[in-house]
Amino acid sequence: MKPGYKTILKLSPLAIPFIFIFMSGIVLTAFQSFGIMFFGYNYEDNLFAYKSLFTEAWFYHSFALTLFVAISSSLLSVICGVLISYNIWRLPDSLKRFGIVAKIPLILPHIAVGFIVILLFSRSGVFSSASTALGLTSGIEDFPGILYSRYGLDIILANIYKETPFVIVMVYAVLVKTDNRLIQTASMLGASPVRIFYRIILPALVPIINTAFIIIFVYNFGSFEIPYVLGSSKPGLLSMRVYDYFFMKDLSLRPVAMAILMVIFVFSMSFVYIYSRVISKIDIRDRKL
Amino acid sequence: MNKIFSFFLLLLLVSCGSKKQNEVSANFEEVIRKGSNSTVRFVMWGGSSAVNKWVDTYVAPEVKKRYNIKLVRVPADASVFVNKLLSEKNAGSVKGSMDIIWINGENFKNAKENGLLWGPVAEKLPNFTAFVNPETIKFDFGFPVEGYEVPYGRAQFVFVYDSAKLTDIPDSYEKLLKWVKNNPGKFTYPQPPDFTASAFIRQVFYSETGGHKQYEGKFDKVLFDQTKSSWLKYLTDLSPHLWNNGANHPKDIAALDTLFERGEVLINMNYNQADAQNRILAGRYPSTVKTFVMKEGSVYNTHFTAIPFNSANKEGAMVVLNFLLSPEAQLSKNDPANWGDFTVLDLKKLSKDDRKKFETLDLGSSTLPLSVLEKQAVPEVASEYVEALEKEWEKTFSNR
Amino acid sequence: MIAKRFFITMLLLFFTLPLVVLLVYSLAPVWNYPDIIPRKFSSGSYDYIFSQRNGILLSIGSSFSYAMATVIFTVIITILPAQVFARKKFRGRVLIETVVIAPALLPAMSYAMGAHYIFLRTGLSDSFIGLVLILSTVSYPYMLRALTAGFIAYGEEYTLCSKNLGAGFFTTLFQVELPLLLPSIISGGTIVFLVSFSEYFLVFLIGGGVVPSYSGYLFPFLNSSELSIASLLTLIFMIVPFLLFMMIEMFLSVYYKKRFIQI
Repeated sequence: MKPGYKTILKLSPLAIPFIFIFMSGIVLTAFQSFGIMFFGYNYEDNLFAYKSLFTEAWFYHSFALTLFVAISSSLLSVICGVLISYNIWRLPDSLKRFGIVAKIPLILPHIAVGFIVILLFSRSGVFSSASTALGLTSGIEDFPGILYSRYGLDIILANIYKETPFVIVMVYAVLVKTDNRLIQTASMLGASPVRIFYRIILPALVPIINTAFIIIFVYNFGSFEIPYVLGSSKPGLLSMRVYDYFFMKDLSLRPVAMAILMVIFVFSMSFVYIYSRVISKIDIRDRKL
Repeated sequence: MNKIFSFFLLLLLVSCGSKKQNEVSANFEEVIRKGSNSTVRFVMWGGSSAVNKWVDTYVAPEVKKRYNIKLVRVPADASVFVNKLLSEKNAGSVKGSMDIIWINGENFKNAKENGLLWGPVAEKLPNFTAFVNPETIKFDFGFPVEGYEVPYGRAQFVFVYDSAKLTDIPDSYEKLLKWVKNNPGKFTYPQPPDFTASAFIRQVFYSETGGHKQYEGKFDKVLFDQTKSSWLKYLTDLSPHLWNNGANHPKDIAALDTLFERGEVLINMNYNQADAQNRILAGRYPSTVKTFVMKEGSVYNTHFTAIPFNSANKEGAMVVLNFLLSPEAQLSKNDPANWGDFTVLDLKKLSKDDRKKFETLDLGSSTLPLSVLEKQAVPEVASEYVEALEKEWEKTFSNR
Repeated sequence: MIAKRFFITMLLLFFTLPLVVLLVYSLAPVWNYPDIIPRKFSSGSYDYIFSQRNGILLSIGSSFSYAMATVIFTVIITILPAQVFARKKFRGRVLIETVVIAPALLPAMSYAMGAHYIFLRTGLSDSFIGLVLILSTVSYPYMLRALTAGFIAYGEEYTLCSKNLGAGFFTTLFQVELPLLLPSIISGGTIVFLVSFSEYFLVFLIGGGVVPSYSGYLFPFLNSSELSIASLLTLIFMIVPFLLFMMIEMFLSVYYKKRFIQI
């Protein structure tokens, strides 16, 4: 059935954010990455931004680092989130209320989470003092350089703290709906909690895990605030480079910032598309079995 | 899809409004009358709590009391707001959101060349004509000021150390390199384009290539390329012995301050000779913290304020700028308990009483005596050098 | 049981330790290595915050206003589309439903920087309305999903019943549908509020410092060496959403009790 004019009319409010801002915004980003409509600046070579990106080593380093940070923080957040929510769910009802603490990071802004990581993990920070007190390290130098590390470990830690609760909320909502009788039966038949987790719980959680992973991964891939607060790690994430090129460098280099944004955008879109394609294929195969 | 594009094109056709340059009276009484009872937005770097506090707790209440002006401090990096002004200019927006900006060096050059500043404004301010020697502020990093900036303060670069932890200070660049090699991990500088980091690199540039004199005047690309290798070599030699093995640098001076305060590094730096004293008074640094300058000299500069081309309240901005140049405000700013920034006023032009107040101001035990600072002072060079140095640094150290 | 105790302890530690550290920092201007407990406590940051209370309250108030305005605006623009997605079957529905959530999924920076140009041209940058628009773009998909789920949950019967009884479009909307959708609005609104309230970059880009914001107020402190003040301001940041959620909980329990009794 074709949508009627009434249906279209009812859908039309979405045009404000979707067409006026989202689509126009991305089209303009694309134009500006080619040096078009850039506030009076004229560029003879419309591809100069992309050329300078793809010919420079830092771009590939930065891309690889961004990918690494996004994958590892998303994977670890999902793993932590699933384990924590499963364990909260298994608690007796009287103890479940403690689970509420897991929501604390939800109300902390990203910039604050980055700041907390600095307080805790810097070489002269809280954990370093604690490890010295425990006799594990004897000075500032002994504590591992997590902050400003080459591999973005600080960013990964902040991402995990901020995003694990998100996974917990999503996964818990599914767990609540899980049929408890199945687990009781399995348990009566002598299945261990670990076995129950792998055989019954995990399969039921696969769809929500996939959804959570996609959302977190794409967010981490393009996120700016946490890396910005945590600051220098070389070569830095792509989003940091965007800021650098747009605000900090020669004004005529701003198309490079837009070109990086286009790379981020196209990559994220392709990732979502391919990932959802792949999982839907796996789903179908599962059903056949 | 067609619809989307036509809608989108329509948006782009929304053209700019009419450009009316409202005249500002030459009579300052008139300016004060018009500028009173208004809001002035002061956009400035927000990384120093002492400076923020001074603006919030001294300047804002004073202009409120005197002129009923509401001063709003907006924190932003200079390169960011210059960029924003440029976007506004090209988008044709007439009314801007900034009335005063704190600016100098390459950002001033960028802003002035793109017509982002309103002016000339300096000569219109009574306190400027009365108390400032115009010869001392003719150039800002080699670029002619021509009244488009109003001098605000003067600062000199110093190194900071705790005399309880460090007795033999490395007061030359050669000694510094040796010291860093003997004390690995205890020294670093922030990551350019941080203002302080950039100044540190400039001084290495001066000292390793035979002094600042040769760089006076316009940017000389040939000369720069000729001497490039020697200052880069110094920094490369330094690099592996720096904090975190030189793998990275604190992102800005605030991050380095934290490292110093917590003892991760033993030598800090600041482009404000009295910052250490200010922190001692605030209880952040122990009173044993002192400052030193290198034998090869230490850079000093004047920093300025300016009014953007699209300020909606130029009169109010002028009233505030004039107040900032008053002996009272300059004296308050000069006090290390507030900020410690040197005055731009010509003390000879002040009244006897005022002059005495400046001369007897206690700069504190950690601030070097004026005579020492003056002896070691070396000027800044053209801002193209600053940009070129930052670029070279990034090429060499940023992508390894 | 030991395992459970251990789990709860770890859970509490993992999630509340940062808050404890923030609290200690807020009371200690200087907390240096290797002290486990700061040597000196002082109320300095509290004094400073108190002296700056006007600016802080203003920025919190402003953040609260634009976050709330964003919640309201997203409800307005998504309620009818949500109804369509829940009730109508037409060709391309799934595709449209999938595509319109893209702004929340894909990196906001990538389109916001381009949109900034449009905002500059149309005079929307540096304005409250512009800020609400960009925040709505980032967050409306959450509201849309929540409302769609809400419409599906209570079925079409109520709407039809109301229409059969002679209620007009708006009467049905306000008297029947909105009250039924309240739980969905609240769950969607919670996310929209949180996203808008804690956003920094977009507020910086589109609000341009003209629209006061608490995240904009906080940021320079997080970036400075004033760790104590920054810690205290972070703790204050959490108060607003915390209070809001408490109020929602209380309101909901009262609201449902009342309705239940009436029925």
